[in-house]
Amino acid sequence: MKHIFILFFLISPFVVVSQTLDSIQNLDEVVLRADRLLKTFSKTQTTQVLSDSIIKRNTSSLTQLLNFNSPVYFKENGLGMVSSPSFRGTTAQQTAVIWNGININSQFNGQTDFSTINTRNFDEITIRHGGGSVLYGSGAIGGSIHLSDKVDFNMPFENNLFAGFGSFNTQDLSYGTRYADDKFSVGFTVTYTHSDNDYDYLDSDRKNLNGQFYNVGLSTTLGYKIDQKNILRYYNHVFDGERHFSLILPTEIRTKYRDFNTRQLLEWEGRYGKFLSVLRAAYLTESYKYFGNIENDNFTFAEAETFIGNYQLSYKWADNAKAMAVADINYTNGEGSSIVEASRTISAFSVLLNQRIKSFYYEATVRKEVTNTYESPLLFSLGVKQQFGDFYTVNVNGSKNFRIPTYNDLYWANAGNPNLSPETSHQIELGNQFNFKNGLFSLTGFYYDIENMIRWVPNTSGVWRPINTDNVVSYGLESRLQYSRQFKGHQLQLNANYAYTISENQFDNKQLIYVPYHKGSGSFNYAYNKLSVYWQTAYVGEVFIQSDNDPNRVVAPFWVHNLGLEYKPLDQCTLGFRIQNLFNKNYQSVANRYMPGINYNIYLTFNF
Amino acid sequence: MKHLFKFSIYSFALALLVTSCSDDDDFTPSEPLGDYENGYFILHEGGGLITPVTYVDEDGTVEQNVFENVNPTADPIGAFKQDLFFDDTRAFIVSGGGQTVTVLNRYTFEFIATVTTDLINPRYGAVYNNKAYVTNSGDFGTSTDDFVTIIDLTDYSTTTIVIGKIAERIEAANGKLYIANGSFGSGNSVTVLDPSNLGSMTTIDLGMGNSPNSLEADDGFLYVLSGNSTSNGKVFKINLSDDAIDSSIDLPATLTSPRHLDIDGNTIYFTNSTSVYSFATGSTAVSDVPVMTYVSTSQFGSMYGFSARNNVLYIADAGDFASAGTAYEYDTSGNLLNTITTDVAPNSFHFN
Repeated sequence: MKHIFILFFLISPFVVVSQTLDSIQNLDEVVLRADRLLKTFSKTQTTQVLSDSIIKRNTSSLTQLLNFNSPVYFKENGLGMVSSPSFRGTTAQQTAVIWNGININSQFNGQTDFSTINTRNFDEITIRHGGGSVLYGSGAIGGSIHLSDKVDFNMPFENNLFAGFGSFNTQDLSYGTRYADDKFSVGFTVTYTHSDNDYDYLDSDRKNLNGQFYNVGLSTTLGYKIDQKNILRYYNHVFDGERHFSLILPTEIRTKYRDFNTRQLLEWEGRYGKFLSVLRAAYLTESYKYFGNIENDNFTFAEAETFIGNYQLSYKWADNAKAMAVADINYTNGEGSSIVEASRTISAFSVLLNQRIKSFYYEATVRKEVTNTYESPLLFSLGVKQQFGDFYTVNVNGSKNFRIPTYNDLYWANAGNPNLSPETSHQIELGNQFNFKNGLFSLTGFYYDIENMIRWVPNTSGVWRPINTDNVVSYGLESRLQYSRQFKGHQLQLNANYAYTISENQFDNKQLIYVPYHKGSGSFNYAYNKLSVYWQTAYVGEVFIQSDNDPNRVVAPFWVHNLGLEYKPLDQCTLGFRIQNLFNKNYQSVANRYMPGINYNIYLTFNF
Repeated sequence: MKHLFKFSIYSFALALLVTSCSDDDDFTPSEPLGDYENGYFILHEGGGLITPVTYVDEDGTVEQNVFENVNPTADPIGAFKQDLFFDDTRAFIVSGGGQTVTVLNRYTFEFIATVTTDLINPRYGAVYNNKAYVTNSGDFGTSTDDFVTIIDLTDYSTTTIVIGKIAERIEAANGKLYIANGSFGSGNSVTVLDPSNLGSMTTIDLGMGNSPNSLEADDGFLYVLSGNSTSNGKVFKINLSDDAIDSSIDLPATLTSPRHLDIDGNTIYFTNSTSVYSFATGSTAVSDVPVMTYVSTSQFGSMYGFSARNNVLYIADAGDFASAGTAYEYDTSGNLLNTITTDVAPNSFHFN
């Protein structure tokens, strides 16, 4: 019933507004994002935008997209299964996923399963490296992944269709439409992904059993210009998915997992002279059901709803200078099979400041949260950037960030620990960027000192409970190369990322398990006339799977390649063919979790 | 599964094959039963497809990967090896992750069969009269569906019987099966199953809060160790002739998490934290002075397994459950006799 209500709420305004289509006015395009801080207070850190064209050339899984296009490492329990990121050697709970400026990491386990994000639902995906807890709250330590929708005005009526089909009976479909005049804007996207995911294991007579999955996503954006100064925007995203969890051995119990998440955001933006006022209200729901044995209907579940009120007031106090104050209130109510209903309210206050003085730029931010659930530290960041001509830019950013205890940590029946403190991270990074004629090269060094890491350990009675225990130091280098060239109708693009990461538990100075020293990715694109060919690659170095770093207990490094070909018979239409795991490499991301060998995809995009 | 770590482990590790060089067996009174007849196995509870046991021979030599060495073409055994039990000729390994009971020759470790039917989150097993009785948690969310799988050891066919209470440790004694209805401090009884009359299941109530975690039969009595979160731990002495509680002994109040009852000769041993305690089978009081205490660097995996046999105390230390574990042999004065490196999460000792 609740689902139907939400769907109705989602679709009805679209239906009404879409009937008011009228003539297209060709005025200046105004593109605005709900995630303003990504543009205004992230200039002393690295951000990397993955455009629509990159997103299209990858499968709809956020894991796959980032694996081939970023230095983020993924621990993936087989294709399409639970997938946890490690960004700069941190844990999955220390990577925040931000939807239109709002942190959507789960209230229950504190992380986002990257297999439950369908990339085709969003206009733009941005990787923000480094700490961001002042801006984005809990979990923005290693970095954050930003899913953004556009609300444009004065846009022609536009439809786009994507249809992909691949090995293992995989369907990957999306349809989006948008229209905007000078007063109204509306956009709607629906996605559907399904796969039997029953690939054969290489060098074995076995296949991936019980790995099938599907998901449906809907997103809606609405915009209304009340007058020249005031704009209302509404964003909605609904995700409904079911995954079976694949087996290591055929005798294991078959299980499955259902996710149903909704996100809604309404914002009112007012521009009054030097002031910019943004009032936002958001309502998020998340729920899962875990079927511990698909032979029967028994399941365990948890569900939470979150209300967020947020007010940002910024003031342009000089040319190229901005001050901002943010007040935020976040109320969550959740319960589950093992969690007695509990609610918590977190209020936060932030002050942010930035200024550009010729070639020098600085930004300083501070945030304090107030809650009765735990002791919240003062969070801050300070960043500076200096440009030396067009060629070289250097930036330094230091910050204190945190990851708050989750519902599971606090409230799990007979195990939750109400006395937990947040995990905190002090971190600093130094970035260098070299711009040359057709590209750029950047090199960033980072150092993290993360304390009070929450970990579940058995107590003297054998009951596993969470405590604040570990101290981890993580440091390393990230580098990135971008190059593009055009000559006589030929187009060339090259992108490469490489990260070297040491992440050590200070208890015994051992590298954390499932954190590779080396992670690289790259892509190359060549286009001429109506044809283009592209190559994608990812390299993941050896990872330890035992905390004693036993060199015999590792997942071997792997280097996989994809090759794609695209043909554009018409300007509006692209036909693509992609070969994944080109060299049919037998590899695993997690021990005993085999990934598919060579497999194929065809896809069609059509804009009209 | 939620109580267990989720780290998966490589299935085939470096073989630390140590060849035994015993050329002093001047007299062999009987046909040898197999390479592993004179030692003991340490079971590994770790996740993934790690090797099931470490073998320690009577002369102290250690062999890892026994299962893989003897059975190079056999499929690996699933994760979370919970229990190993024997009949006269066979060893049975219960895998909670693989949902299997693997049958091996107990002396040669040669693979015989895998039982895959009627098992849902299996836990512990015991043999009586050519049948194996394996407890199962069923759905982890409820204990009312807990059941026992009965495996006919002639053809490995299976049937089940619902226990309806937490079904964990199981002991065969006096022609019956005794099942501890205790797990993580819940449940406070022992179920008695009569194999000749499965319908006539009876229950021995241990009293409020007394959750049984280990049990062993000896000389006409069943001894059951219980922990209690608000009161003293106890050892119950149950008369096997009528299944009534003969007596019970309160353990010292300072021992807040007693575990691992094991009887060696006339001495009852149990552990609390990193210490071992004991008392004689006939005594009516228990001293809070430990027999010995060992030093563990583990924050939370200390004393994960324990056995006492022929005046040797065997202690398994699981470390952080994500790295190699350690087993120790001590004499009853606390002198260290031997240290053995095991695979992840050693949880019990099984003697040939």
